[in-house]
Amino acid sequence: MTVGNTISSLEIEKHLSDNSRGLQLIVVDETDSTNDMAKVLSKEGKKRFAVIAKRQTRGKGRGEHIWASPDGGIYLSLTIENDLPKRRIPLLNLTLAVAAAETILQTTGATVSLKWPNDIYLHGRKLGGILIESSTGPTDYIVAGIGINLNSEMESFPPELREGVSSIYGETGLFYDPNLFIANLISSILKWTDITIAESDRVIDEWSRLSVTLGSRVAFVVGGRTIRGLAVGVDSDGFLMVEDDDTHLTEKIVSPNILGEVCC
Amino acid sequence: MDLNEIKKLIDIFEKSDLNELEIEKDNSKVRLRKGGGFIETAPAVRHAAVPAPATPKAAATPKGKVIPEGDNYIKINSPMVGTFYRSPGEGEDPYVKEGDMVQKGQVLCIVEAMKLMNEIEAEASGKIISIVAENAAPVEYDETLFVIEK
Repeated sequence: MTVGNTISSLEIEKHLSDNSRGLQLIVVDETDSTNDMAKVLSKEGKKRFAVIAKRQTRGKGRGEHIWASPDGGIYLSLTIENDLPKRRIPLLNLTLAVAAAETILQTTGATVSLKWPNDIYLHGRKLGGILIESSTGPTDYIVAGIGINLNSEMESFPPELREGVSSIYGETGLFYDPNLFIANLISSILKWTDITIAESDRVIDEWSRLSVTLGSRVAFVVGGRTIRGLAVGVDSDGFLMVEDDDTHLTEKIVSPNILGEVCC
Repeated sequence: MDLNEIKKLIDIFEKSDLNELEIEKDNSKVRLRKGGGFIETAPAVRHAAVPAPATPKAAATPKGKVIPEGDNYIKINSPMVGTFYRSPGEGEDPYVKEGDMVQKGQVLCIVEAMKLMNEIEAEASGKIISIVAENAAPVEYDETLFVIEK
């Protein structure tokens, strides 16, 4: 039995800050994927809500990957309604990562590192991830999904994943109140999405400060060509700038087919 | 000016609000113009006394598709820089094919950037008369992806 089992909308609401007023909280014991549930509700026209699950049976990771989602983790999908221009939606990956880092530091004292474009690491192992799904056209929604291994016990992850995964509980031996954590996370996401509109440089600066990607050697496949080089920065849209070893040109990585870091 | 420099120049030009750009460097001249779909390179004439070698004109249309214009047609443009996908996943059927009738709000494709999956919906009901972008190819902001006939 973990503290994760005590998640309730009433308890979360107690801790929400002013910027989250009017937000509807939907808490379920189990769902395939909080993002899928939030997308279905968004397509039905529902606005300003968050879906929180105690566990997911088919949590979505990158591409076709499944995000292991046992009890004790935080699985949140929040709709974002604001005036951010559509072309800047990808930047929300960095926004969410910064908000998650802030929440984790404030709530647990742990300092995480961020990997471009959407991963959260603690002590070199994956602690959380972000998956944003959106639609442009008559329906028009943004669903920001985030998974964080807060009170997850390491034994609850599949054996083949354990080496690369971390959880706050696994690292500290301490359980943290998931309701306070979720409330802080929602408030922080809404705060940073507003900052993204008005002062996106602050998001870029904060992300860059916490990034393990910048300054490291990376490799990507772009349009069938492998680009290897040094990650030198992110541009104002959040795209990674890589100095190509072969051409010495700085390439903008938009759609990462990630081969992984290359050690030199 | 080498090919890489010209490619970078085209990239910058495409993202700018400029309609026409002319640059002279290293005794060569490049002129870019939007709408006409051509790239012209020519030797710059700096001094009448130094004859430059003639460079042939290069004409290119970036995409082979013709985009029809008119009140009957609705262009669905990409809201962001990204990669265009015609189906929800590898090996799955495309959302739509040319000739399909679509309803307003129906998902036509995905444009992905930084692992963010953005579904593009039909702005109006009608018939898909042209799929302009190629599957898994990069697309620019505001680039036309589909043309729907109302």
